[in-house]
Amino acid sequence: MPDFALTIVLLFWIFDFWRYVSYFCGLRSKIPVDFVWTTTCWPLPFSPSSEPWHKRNLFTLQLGWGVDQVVGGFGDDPGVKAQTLNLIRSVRTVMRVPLIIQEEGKSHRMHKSGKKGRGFNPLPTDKEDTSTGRGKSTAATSSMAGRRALKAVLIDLSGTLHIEDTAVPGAQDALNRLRQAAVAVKFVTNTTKESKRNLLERLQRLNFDLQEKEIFTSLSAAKSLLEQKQLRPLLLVEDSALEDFTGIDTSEPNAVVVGLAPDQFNYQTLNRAFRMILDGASLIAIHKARYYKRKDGLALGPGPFVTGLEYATDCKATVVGKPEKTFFTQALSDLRCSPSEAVMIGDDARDDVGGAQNAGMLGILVRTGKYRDGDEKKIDPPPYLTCDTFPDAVEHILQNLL
Amino acid sequence: MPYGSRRRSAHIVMADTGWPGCVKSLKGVILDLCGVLYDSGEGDGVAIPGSIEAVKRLKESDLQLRFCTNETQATRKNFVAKLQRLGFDISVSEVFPPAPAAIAVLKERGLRPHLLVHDGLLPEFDAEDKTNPNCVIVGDAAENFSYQNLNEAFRVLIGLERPVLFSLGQGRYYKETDGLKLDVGVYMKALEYACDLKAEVIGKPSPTFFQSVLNDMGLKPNEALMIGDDLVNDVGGAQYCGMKGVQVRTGKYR
Repeated sequence: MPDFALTIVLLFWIFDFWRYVSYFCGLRSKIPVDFVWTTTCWPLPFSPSSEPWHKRNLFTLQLGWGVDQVVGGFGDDPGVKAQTLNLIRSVRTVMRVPLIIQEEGKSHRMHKSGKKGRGFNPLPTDKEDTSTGRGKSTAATSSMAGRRALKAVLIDLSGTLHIEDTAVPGAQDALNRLRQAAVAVKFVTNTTKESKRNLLERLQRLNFDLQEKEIFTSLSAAKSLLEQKQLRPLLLVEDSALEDFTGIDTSEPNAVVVGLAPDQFNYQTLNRAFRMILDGASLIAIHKARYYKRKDGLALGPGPFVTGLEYATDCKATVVGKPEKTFFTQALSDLRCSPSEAVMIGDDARDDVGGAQNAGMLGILVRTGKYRDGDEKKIDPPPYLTCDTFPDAVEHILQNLL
Repeated sequence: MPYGSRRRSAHIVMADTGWPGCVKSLKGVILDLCGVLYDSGEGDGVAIPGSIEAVKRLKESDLQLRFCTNETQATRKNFVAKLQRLGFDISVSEVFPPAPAAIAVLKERGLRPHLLVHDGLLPEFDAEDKTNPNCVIVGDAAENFSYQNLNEAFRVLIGLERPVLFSLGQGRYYKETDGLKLDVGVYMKALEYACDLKAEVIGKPSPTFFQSVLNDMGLKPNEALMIGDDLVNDVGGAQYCGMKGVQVRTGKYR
């Protein structure tokens, strides 16, 4: 069938081409008006329904380029037939766009009803109709309305999923249940010395189901800021955190990145950083924590040193970790979802919940980890919700936000 | 922006009164040392050209002369000996560093200090009781500003019910022969931020510090003039007390 159709198309083309050439050369006095028919109707033999849509890679097809390109490697001279086939595919794709959109809407609805049908926290029918206007009715009307629902859940690690080397009871199961719902999950944490790989290994030891690419740390945020601004940093971070900066050029530094690096916080290195900032380098802080708890007691965090450098140079550091707004928007950016479509779960009222709500998300405070009585009153507006543990927070999301 | 406003007011004072009128009521001069008379650095540092002769001429005049410094890297005795080696005609009783003032405050309030200072300054505090400290004194400790030492000071402060932090000066940086160096103010701010407190500054630009120098000369503020290279701590601090301030373009001036 394709070969037969191809022949017809080629004939049409040659015919069209000849008429155009003759018009422009003055052999014809009238512009061919029927060209519209010949150039738009020739793909009809390849009608969009000729191939089931679900067998296609929708993403690449939407870009107008099929997965099964016949054109060879870069630099090869593609044959006329291959080129033509490619062109045909492109046009077929364009014709299929309305179909794709339609199907996507269908699949979205199917997905939602399927989830409820599987019986994960089925909503009582009366609640379903009244729940926050995002219920079945809106999802059924159009695919755009369906996108207003919750799309992503950001989860803090230390203090929320685990405390040191102990998992919060039931947290693994709760995470699994959340994963079966139609939301993206991402793990966000302020770390200055642990690389993603370290974090991942610890969580997997505690039987949490997650992947490295789902973790977004303040170190990742710093890296993407450096890449975005094309800066070459002097990295005041511990060796264990350096692997999260692989690929970043650190020669002739024009920026200072301050993490937590007790070994580097000596007079000499700080002086070097200070002179660089005075000469115009930008100061980037992984975060500004005052202190942290170590086995032998409290110890100074990066915050005091950042504050000192700010005072010395009379400049303001760019802070990249929680509770900065950009941290949360960056964490959501590759999920293609806006802050209003996301919720954050964490144990730090100011950094997790306050920061997330400031960025336009919902914030759920859990009473584990560093939570102290009355923490929920520390921020204004107060947390969207305060619950005892991570599993409770998941339960609430499954019941009320989806 | 305090920088700009103070700088402008310095100019206005000069422009309004002019040198002659100013000098008529003038009975004393206070000089900053580092950055005005000499640049510190390897060994003793170097005298700024012409300053040795200028000090000599001031001494020969009717004006009283005192030296007011935030130098906290050496005891007063050693510091003066260094200046004498550089060729300055200076005696110990004319020099006012913050450490002796801090010791007076400790005595007055019955405090026992934890010291985060330069090794050279430690002998100044030999007589003080440092057991079970209930306050922290931070000076320009230079190489002693290690994470370990800062952490110790931090733990003392965070463990106190009513933490007290004294800072011997609050300078941002100073100039040594090999470049600019972080001053005590940076570490004072770091500890302030870590412990969520406000340090008490002993030394310039604290008004009590300037007042103690004026008392020693027996002068009123409007009878004295301060010359310094630090806009905030020397010139600003002196003018805040009612003295006249002169900014020189040596030392840390940028």
